[in-house]
Amino acid sequence: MDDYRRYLDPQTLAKVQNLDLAARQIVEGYVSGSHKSPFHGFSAEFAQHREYAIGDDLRYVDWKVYAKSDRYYLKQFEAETNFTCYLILDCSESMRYRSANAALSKWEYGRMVAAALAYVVIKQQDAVGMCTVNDRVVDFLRPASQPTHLKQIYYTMEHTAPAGESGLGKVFHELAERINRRSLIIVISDLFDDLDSVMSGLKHFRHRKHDVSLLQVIDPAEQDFPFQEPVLFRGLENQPEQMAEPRSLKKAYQAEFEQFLKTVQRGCRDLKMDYALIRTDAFLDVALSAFLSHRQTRVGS
Amino acid sequence: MSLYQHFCHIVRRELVLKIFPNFNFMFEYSFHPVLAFGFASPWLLAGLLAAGIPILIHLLHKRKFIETEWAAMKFLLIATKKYSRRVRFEQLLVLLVRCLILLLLAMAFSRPYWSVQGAFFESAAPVHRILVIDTSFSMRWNGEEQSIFEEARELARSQVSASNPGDAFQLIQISSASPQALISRPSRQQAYVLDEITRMQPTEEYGNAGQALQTALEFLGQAQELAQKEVIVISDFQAQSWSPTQTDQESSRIRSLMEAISKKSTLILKDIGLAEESNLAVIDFSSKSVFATLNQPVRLGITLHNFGSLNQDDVNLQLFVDGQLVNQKLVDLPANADIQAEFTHQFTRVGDHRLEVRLAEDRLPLDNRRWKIMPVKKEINVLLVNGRQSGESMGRATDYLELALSPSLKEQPWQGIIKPHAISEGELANTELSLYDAVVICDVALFTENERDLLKSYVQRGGGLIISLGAQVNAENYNQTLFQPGAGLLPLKLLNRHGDAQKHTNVFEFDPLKYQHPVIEIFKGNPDAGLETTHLYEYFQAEILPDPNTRLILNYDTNDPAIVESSLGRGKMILVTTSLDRHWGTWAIWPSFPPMMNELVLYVSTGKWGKRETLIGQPLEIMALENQLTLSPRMIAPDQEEFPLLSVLDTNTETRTITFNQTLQSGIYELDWGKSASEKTLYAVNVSPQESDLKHIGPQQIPSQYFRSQSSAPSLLNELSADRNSHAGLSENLLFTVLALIVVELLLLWRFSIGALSFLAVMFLCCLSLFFQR
Repeated sequence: MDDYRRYLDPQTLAKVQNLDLAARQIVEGYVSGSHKSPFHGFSAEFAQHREYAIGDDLRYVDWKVYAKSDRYYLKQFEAETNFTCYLILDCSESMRYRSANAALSKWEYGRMVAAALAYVVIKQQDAVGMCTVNDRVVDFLRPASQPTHLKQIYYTMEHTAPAGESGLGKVFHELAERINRRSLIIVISDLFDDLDSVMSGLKHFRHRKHDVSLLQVIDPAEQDFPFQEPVLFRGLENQPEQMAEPRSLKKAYQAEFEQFLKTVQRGCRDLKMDYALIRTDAFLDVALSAFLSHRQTRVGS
Repeated sequence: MSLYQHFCHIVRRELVLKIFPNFNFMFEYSFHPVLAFGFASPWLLAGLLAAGIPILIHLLHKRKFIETEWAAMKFLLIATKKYSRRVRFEQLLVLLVRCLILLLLAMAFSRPYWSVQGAFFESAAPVHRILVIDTSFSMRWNGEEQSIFEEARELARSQVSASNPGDAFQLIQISSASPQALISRPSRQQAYVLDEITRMQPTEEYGNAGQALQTALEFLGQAQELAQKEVIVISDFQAQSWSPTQTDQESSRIRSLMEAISKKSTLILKDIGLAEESNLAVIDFSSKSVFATLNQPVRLGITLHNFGSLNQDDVNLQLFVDGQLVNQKLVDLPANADIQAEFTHQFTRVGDHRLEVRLAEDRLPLDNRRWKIMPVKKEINVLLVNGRQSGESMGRATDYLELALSPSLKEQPWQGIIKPHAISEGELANTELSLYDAVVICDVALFTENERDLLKSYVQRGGGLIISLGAQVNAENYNQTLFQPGAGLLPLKLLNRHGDAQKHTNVFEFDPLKYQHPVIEIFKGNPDAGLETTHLYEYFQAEILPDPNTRLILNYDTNDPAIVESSLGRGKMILVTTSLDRHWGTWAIWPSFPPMMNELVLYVSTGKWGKRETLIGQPLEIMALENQLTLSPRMIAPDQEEFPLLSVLDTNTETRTITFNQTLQSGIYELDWGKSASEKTLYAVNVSPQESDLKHIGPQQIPSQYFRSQSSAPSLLNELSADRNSHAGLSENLLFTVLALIVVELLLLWRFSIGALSFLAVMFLCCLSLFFQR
């Protein structure tokens, strides 16, 4: 196995306290050099044509070329500094959860992903902003492309503790109003919230012409429900306690949870958003590549 | 044991009908339907406790839990809300299946059975069956083709042959002396049991039914793994054995034993007795003389009984002496009455003679013969111990007695049997007393303890002792030696002398006490013999201490004891409280004196002869003489079987007795001392007359429900065996269900709905197979 992959293991990354270092490790190890940047701005400066492939956005089809050659070509534009990326990171209490076998909590994992993405964006001279949210906007960093801004982002994330109840829907509406410029908005959250409200918020982003990507971070235990003995589950975010017999309840729980994931997935598809489900036991490169390659495919290389 | 009994309910017809109202038809084919449910190995039911293990685990499991924070609480709460009832139901069903698996497993190992006896269902549970077969001699009664014992044996064989593999048998015979338990450990080997039954033979003993039932009751405690128990008694149910009239205690014991047996088992009485009881028997053959003398006629008394309801006339009665028919007569035997017959015979040879009376044979010939031994003695040696020396004619204390016992004249010597030999008191210690049949002490003043011990030992070994008193007797010495309480010979105490022989102030006479004692029976109705007119002037008063072996022969008219009899060991003793000469009265010259002395001497001499007759099963006591102790005697039974006797030689040298217990046949037993044929001692063993009465017990003695008619028994047995052979036990069924439930449990964990359906199917099939398992 490649040596660099060792550094992308959550178990390894958990030991890296410095978020900057971790992000660099992730990006240098995998993203950089391996792929072209999947982030393209909405620049008017033409770069090149590319043959249409199924799934490509019809908006970029060069109808003039089609008229001339009877072939579908896409127009691709060079990225410009006007590309802005917002990283919206859920810091509600539910993100604090870390199961026994997981090396990182959802919050830790999420912010590591956010850090890597921010690093990528800044590295290509684009602006990245960040906001941490629970039922309100906790921190909001306006987008900037200076490397010093990256440090500020890291600092903010490192000094934010996951707490408070989720209220993503309301927060998304608020942010949609605040972000005027068309941007790439990457939401990193477990989405343990009122799904209709969340979807409504995301829809608001889409309505404001933002390109929205959703990275749903979940703990493996939340999907696998690996408990055997009776468990007293103490709910986070002011949820009640529940005594349960896991072995008999496992199927029912998993059915509910899968239903939830499917609903999220369907919602994202309906809103034409990128969606990736990331488990905190997955290697960071796998998690990022799942998201980035999908995005690359969609945006076009 | 008590646990499984709790399960063994007996439900009567009414209850069965109440539960299954449509099952009335069952009773048309059955009798006494009894629903029984039980376990062959009830102690394995302890395994039922294992059924609690899953519940325990479940409870312990619930108590132990871990705590964790949980983010996805929303989904957990929804799942719990939606599925909690279903989850609980699933849990309970899985728990039920797990409990059932252990429960049914424990039950299967306990080998359950259920039955409605003689009705619709019948179980295959093995039975612990105890066969009690009467082998008393009344079972020898010959029917048209075979004896009723053979009939009983066939019935027993058929019971065993028709049994199931797995049934355990024990065999008991109703006898008295022979061992009753023939198969004392439950045997499942049919061939062995059949072989034992085939080898059974009727005994000549009386039937001790109480003892046999007691043995059966004890046997019921064995083979506890078999809950179904039967006690089958095959007998002629003779009243004398089953309801002895002479002892109410024994009769009630038999009844209580039957009740106890019927509580623990099914008691089945198979009566193969006779409808009409007709039997002639010789119930007694005796003589007043213990021994006979040469050429003297001996009277032999025979008691006959006709146990039938019809008179029997002119029945031939024969007397055989030493195998030769010597006399016979015809006797009339009225129904249900004792008849006395008598033969007189004169013996011409010294030694033991075999006497046998035979009554004409009937269907039970064993009790038509009876044997007796008559020893013929040539002489009785009597030692007279003289306590008063005298130079005068007839002056010694023993002179008159010697004359009375052996009245020889110079020209005509006495030919009688009694040979007296007089010695002085000083010679007593140096005389071999065992050579004498009797010793008579006459007016001896004092006894040493050594002499007392010699005499005591002599009496204990069967010697006869007569002590007469006189003027020289020191009462105090007598009380301290001969009559010393505990160590002495006679349990009495001499008091003062009464009367005055010198002055003849008082004249005493004998009071014969209604002639009850056999010694003075010859004087009865014979006043000329002069017993009551005997005059005595002086005697010793004596206080008789209470003792069961002591009795009065004669009193004085003052109500003081005159002649007292007692026994010690095998010997007999007589005390005469006056003198046997002329000093204290005129008795010595009175006509009553010679016969009285002869009778007394012969009476006390019998101790050395011992009892020569006994009943079947009772021991023969053989007395060995001093010179015979080193020999190797053997007893030859009537069937010529020989029994060496050394092993049974009683080590008690005081009595020198050999006890012979193998008296299981009637007839003459010969004791061969091993020296020569002429020294054989004969003994007679006869059957007990109580078995001769073939009268049946009535229903008032034994409740009729215990009886099952003989004809219905085989058919019932066939029904049962047919049913039993065609159906497997419940255990297999339960084990199959357990296997199926194990699969069901896996299915429940995999797909609950499929598991639940399969559970219902298994339960249905289980019930169905139980229903058809009959």
